Amino acid sequence: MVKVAFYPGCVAKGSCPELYTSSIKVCEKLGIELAELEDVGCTGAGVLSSEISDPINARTLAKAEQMGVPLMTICSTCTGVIALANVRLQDPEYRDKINREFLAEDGLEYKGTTEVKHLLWVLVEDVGLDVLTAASTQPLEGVKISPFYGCYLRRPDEAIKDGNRKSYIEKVTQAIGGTNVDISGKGKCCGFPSLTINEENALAMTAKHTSEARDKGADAMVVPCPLCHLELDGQQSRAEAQEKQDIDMPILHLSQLVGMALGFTPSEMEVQRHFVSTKNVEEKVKSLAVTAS
Amino acid sequence: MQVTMKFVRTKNEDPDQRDSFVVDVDPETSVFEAMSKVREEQDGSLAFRGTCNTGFCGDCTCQANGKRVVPCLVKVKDSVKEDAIEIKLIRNVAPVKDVLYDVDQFMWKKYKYFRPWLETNGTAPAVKDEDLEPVRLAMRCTVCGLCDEGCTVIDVDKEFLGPMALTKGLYRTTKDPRDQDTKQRFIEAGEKKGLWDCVHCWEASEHCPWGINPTHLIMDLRDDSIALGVKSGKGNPMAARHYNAFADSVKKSGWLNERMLASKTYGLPPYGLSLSGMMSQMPIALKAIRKGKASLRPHKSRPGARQIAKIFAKVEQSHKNKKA
Amino acid sequence: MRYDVVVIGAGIAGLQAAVEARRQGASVAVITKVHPLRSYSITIQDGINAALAQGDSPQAHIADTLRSGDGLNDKSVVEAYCAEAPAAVRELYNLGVPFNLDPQGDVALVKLQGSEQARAAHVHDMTGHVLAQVLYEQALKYEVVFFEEWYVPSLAVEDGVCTGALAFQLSTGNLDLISGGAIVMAAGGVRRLYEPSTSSTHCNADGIGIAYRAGAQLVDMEMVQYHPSIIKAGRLAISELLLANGAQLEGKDGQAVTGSAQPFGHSLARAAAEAIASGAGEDGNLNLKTSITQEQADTTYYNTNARLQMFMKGNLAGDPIPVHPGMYRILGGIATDASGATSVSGLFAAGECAGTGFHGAGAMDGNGLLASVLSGHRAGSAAANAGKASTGEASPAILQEHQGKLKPLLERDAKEGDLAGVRSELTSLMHEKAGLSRDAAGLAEAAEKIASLKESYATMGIPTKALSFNYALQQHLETRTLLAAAEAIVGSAEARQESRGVHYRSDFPDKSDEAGSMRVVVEQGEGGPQVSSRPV
Repeated sequence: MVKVAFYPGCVAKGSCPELYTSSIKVCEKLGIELAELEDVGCTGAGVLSSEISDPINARTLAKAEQMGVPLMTICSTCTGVIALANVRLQDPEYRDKINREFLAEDGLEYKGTTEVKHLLWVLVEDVGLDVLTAASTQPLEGVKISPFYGCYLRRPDEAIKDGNRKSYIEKVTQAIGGTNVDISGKGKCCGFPSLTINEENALAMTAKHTSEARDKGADAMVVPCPLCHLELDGQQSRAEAQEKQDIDMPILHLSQLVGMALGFTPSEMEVQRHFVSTKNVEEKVKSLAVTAS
Repeated sequence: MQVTMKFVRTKNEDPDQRDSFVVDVDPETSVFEAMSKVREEQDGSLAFRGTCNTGFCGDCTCQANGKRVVPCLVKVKDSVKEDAIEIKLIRNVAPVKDVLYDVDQFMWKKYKYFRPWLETNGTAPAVKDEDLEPVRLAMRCTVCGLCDEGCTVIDVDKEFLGPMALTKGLYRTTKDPRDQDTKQRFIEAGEKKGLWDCVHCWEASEHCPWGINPTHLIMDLRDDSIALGVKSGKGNPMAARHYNAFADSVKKSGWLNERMLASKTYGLPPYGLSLSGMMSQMPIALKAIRKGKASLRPHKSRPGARQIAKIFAKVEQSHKNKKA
Repeated sequence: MRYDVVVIGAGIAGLQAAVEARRQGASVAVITKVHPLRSYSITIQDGINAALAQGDSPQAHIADTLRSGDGLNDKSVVEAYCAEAPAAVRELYNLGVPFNLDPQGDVALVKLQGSEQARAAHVHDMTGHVLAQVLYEQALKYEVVFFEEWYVPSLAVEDGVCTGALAFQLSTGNLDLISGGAIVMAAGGVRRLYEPSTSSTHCNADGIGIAYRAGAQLVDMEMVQYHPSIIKAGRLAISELLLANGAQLEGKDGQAVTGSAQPFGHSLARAAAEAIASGAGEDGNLNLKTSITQEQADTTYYNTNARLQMFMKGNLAGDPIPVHPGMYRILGGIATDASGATSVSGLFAAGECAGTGFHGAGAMDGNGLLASVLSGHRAGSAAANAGKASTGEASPAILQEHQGKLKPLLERDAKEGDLAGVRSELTSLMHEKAGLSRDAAGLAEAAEKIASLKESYATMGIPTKALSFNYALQQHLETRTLLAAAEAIVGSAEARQESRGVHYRSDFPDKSDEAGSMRVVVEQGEGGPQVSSRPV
């Protein structure tokens, strides 16, 4: 049993409710005890100036510190931004300044000890791949999955800390019986941060990654970040229009993929909320379920 | 040792060209020495750049056996695979001949965009040594191009000014306390294809061989620009609208109100009306409602919203003080 | 195409000349075969000397420079440069060079070998790198016209006046004529003439060779300086800053190798070569050991250390670094007066290719960058005056003549590898016979060999016929300048029958008052170099 301070992030509570639901179910089944942090703010997502986001994140880290457990997110962008803030906050002088100027009046102090983890890292490091395999009542045999990390679970090194983490998705998909389909852009940007600023670039990135996964025969892509999901799933039809091609590549949240292997039905994982139909994956999973029974 | 040097010769029209050469080289010397040896002894028509031979000039960047490298700093013995080294162009560049590419389009033009010289009014302000350290960091850059080579944005948009130019052009000048034109530089840098087109994917930092960490510098530049009240250039209003909408949302409720973010950024009701915004994002918004992804319930503030608003107020006040 | 001033070469000296000429209102073009920020200057790590410290004075700087130069310096040039140095460094700072500063916010100064004072301003261990950048920034600001990746094979000289430069655009192979009211030659050194060396592939004696072939006098060409510590199997010279801060050379059994005479680096190089010859080395290398901390390795010596780590997984803080001596720079070159004017009217010279007399028989660390900046400054200024006053333009007949010569060269039968053969013979010949130790027999043998290499070179063609980026053609022309510089060096070294500064004759191991009162001058003659002398 592992306990974490759960930081779901804005999008899981907003446009990707399926991520929230599926994560809660998966964690419950795997014995990850979630203590959800309510009184915390947005990480800044790399949009807000770090002058603003560092104090907000220090506040979040301090609240997790009080609980004495790691902070777990289900969003790569949240992980990356808050982990980078945490790296800066290891500098005692800087941390003191933030504590003094922003946290003290709230009766808080961050001592610099909180560990930031993504669900993916908790699955591999705290739950364990063998446990995951054992818990997979419905291994995803024959399901071809293209891992898409996006940016923040691969870089920067000072936030990732352990280079092995850069290949965790593949390990998880293997552990639950799936087959990995490697694409060249798996560690590149999905396009989301550019969506409002340079939409053409954002859609070009989306088309590039999703079409590569399709060309390599993937049944679905799996993402550890709801922003990647909003982009690759939500904007895929517009990317198709811009780049004048049919792509039709289903995008699954990491929690949904794991959940299906753990025996949840696709609809329990709320795949029906996606824009791009996940029908092919659902059918494969259903047929696996039939064989299994 | 005997090494087979293979060159992927792009845009070379000579029908008799050779692309594979056996050379005798000391395995301790650099891949660039081996490349040069081939060109000098066996085929003077081979085209590639490279000058200083010590990793300072950044001119010889290429792929050696699939790795993107500055070949004068890689030993033959560390690169060779099955007695061979394959040399080819880096990505994201327009080939000219063999392993030589259009470096002007790839980097120099972009560098010049930022007017990379200091604008001073003759009076040198008092400067502390540590004030100049960021300038030294940017000037350490050798323009090897490996950051732009790995840039996710340049990958889809060759005109994005990119991490090299942002580092050596914009960061170098705006971080220099002797420069007198910082605000105008940020206004110019805020135009399309500039500072705000970066997606902060951290590829540049991973690719830079010199520990310059360009992505970090770009984020730092954004912070500096925001502190001066410049959130984009005049011809690039979306960047500023997006920032303002994002900041407003977090300031008001402690977290992101996605509906408000989209509406304010694109100019949708109730925050404004923009035909292009309606055209691009309305169908997505409607679909989101249908799929149960966009809740119609009112956006609730986080419990700590008041504390977060105070953080905003303090930082904004410090910016005002800075400007005054 | 005509400009008031045409500068050939875009290292520190060329850029400084161009900027100064623009400031004085001249129209300026710079022709450079590599992008300015790829020039050899950007590899120079040590500092730039200026008597800025309290207690230091131009007089003290002069005294140190003269001691290093061992009696051969042009004293008036030394006095002028040392007096101008403080203002030059302040100006560089104001233009944007982020010099390291002391706690008071003044330019921090370090003591390099040969100086009695802390006198070198520096930007960590990348001073040349940064100086070149800032001067390039200024050249952009002043809208200097750049012909980037254009190679100059010859000067246009009509009736004894230099009126322009022939230049190939490397991307098209087109030969063109660029006229100038005044020409500044700033095309760098001769590193490719020696092996081992800190070679940039592009330091092919272009400036010296072209000017020599155009009739200019060269001076002090026998003064070839070696560096004591070039990394094993590489080209990187370990920062002079380190040698000034206690770095030691050791043989394989830990025996210390030290230099004693001025200039220190060269003297250490000679000692290192002797130690290696007597078996103290391992694979021809000694070990360089420093006492610096990891923090210093990561800051002050970052640029050196990062390259070491990348290339040989070595770390200056702790690891012994295998190094060997190699040729570093030439102290003589195209003879100039204090303004940078050469013996050819209309032609000026600056930087390493210029024989200003500043260094004499030995260059002190930190004076090299100073000479590049100040000789560039002066040549740019003098060329601006001359160029603005001139209305001359090179005659198109010169272009036709050169195009006419080029055609048969390209048509001639040629074999791959012939030119490389000439060059590799030349580099080992120069190192062995005209390097750290010379004698009459060896120099005579070298002279003979160079003459025969010239003969075989004269029949060689260009195997590659393509126009775009024809490296073989460039290599052919660069071999010509290398041969020219080689015969000038050997001829000068034969003439100096004594040992002084960096010039060591094993058959004349001592100084001679008579030889020490003269500078060796060399010009191109009918059958080879014409050597003469002039008083110091």
